[in-house]
Amino acid sequence: MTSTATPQTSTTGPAVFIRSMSKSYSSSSLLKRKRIPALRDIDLEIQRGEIVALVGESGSGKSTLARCLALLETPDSGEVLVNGKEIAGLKGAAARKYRSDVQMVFQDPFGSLNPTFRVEHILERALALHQPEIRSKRNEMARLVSTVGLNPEVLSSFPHELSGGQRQRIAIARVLAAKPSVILADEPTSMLDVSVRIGVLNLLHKLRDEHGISILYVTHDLASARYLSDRIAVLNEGRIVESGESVQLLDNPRHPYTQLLVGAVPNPDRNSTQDATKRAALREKIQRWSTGANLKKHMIDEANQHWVLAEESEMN
Amino acid sequence: MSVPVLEVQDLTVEYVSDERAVRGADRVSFTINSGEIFGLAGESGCGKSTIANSIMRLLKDPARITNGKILFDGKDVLGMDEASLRAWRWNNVAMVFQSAMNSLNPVTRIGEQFVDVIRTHRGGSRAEALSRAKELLQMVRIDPARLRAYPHQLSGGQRQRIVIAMACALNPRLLILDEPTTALDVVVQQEILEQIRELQTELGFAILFITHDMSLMLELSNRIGIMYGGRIVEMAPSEVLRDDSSHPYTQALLGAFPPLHGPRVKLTGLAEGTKFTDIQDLEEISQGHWVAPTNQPALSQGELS
Repeated sequence: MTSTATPQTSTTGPAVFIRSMSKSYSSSSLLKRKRIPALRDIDLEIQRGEIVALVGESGSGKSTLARCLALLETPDSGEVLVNGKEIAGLKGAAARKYRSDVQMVFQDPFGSLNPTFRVEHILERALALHQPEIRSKRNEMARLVSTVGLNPEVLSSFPHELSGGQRQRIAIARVLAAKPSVILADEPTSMLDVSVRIGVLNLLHKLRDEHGISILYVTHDLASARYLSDRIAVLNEGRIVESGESVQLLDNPRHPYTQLLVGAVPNPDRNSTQDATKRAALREKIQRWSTGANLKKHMIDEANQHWVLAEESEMN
Repeated sequence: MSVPVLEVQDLTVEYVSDERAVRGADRVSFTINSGEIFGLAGESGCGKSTIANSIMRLLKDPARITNGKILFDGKDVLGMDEASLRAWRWNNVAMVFQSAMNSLNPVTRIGEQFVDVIRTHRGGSRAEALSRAKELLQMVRIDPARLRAYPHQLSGGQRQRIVIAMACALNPRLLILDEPTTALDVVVQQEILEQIRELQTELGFAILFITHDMSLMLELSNRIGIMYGGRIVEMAPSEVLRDDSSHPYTQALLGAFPPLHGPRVKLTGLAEGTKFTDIQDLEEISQGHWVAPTNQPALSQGELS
């Protein structure tokens, strides 16, 4: 799989290019208004046809990042280019065009499909909106449904007649109806029954392989990030603290936060777990690393684009 | 280690409506030995919580136990009347529910909730109960001063640890944990599991552990039963299940959690719409390894692209 990680060569650069993006939310209490930083100084690129996983715990800012890319939130500052075009200030027709090019798959396939319509209506509307030039919608719908691994019979079903996995596949078919170049998948499997999760991950992988779609995979599950993605970016308190080729990164995590996460993933082959003292030591180290005044990216391994955010003094 | 604390024999639970009856659990049998951690794994709707609730005798209409026996230390649980059930629950078997951290009373201090549990079941003075509560909090590494806190002043992980400590308050012989770490972040999850292990070493209770997360299950349990459609389809010691699973459903569950180390291998889940029907009784294929015979082929796992 690593061989496919090499981005498709293109003269037009990466699919997604983010520089110094920040976003904060305001929280007002009785006495004072505070700005709470959700994303701090984010740099992130997704090459064409690349799958990048964004991992972190709840509250780390990973959904905020995806929502900024989906135009559902506006960053406070920074530069975001998608397919070479700045996305700040997109309005009207340009925003609509952008939204069909950058599509989102949500966590909950129970909430994202209108329960009062049949699948065919749901897909037909998406096609009418995004690809009005297609004449034979029926054929196109059958093709979309078979791309996501379902039988054309599901077209006449209502969402409640389908299982969670089938519904998520329909949600993905609807996304494909827009012919996107980028898919933002925010925890797309966390609400599915476990036995069908891997099938949905395999489907995303196939979309990248066969359609060259770039994917941002947002998850808290390191193991699935390693399984699906070419590269992983680890978010901690709104900062990307470490990033690199998936397998290499998780085999040699350098940032204490990544080490803490890796050590906490349940592992059937492990006899001794990370003990409390080790965890406490890592926590203290995370605190020290993240409050450094002079945080810089340090390249660990050029070939795997593996870097870590740290003070110079921590790198020896 | 080989004295059974709990024996479930041929347990069948039906959810009965006017038109039809749905089997929530179907001829389920297993035993849990003293000090053992037994896991029940399966997906939503497979009947694992139904089993837990039957053991605690917490099933409500329209659920009915239509067949089978539940023996605790040889005593018939299904035959107990209300009074003996009240004396038996919490003293002998305690349960930590799914999202148990929300089961604390939000308007009562933590300490009072401990006192309530301990005095209801064991009597004694308030002061004795409070000192037991302090001991328990120390066991789960929470500052005993937090007994004065209200639940909302504690984090989700802390609340979950308190609920577990409360379940252990009366030294039960069996602890039932129903998805004890769902909705918690991985690091917190690991801390909770560690706490459970420590408490178990210290107090020596047996555990019935219920989850859909196979990695978690393999890490914690001694022996595991896999449930599907109300039936157990495979049952074996953890290592046997990990290395030598035989039922395709077990393999699909195991495959749903890709490994964090080693080469990246393509995994296959269950195909959409795969159903196992008419599941047969378990057969012992090797020492302690029980499998329901099936004509569906085992899943093949190949290299990823």
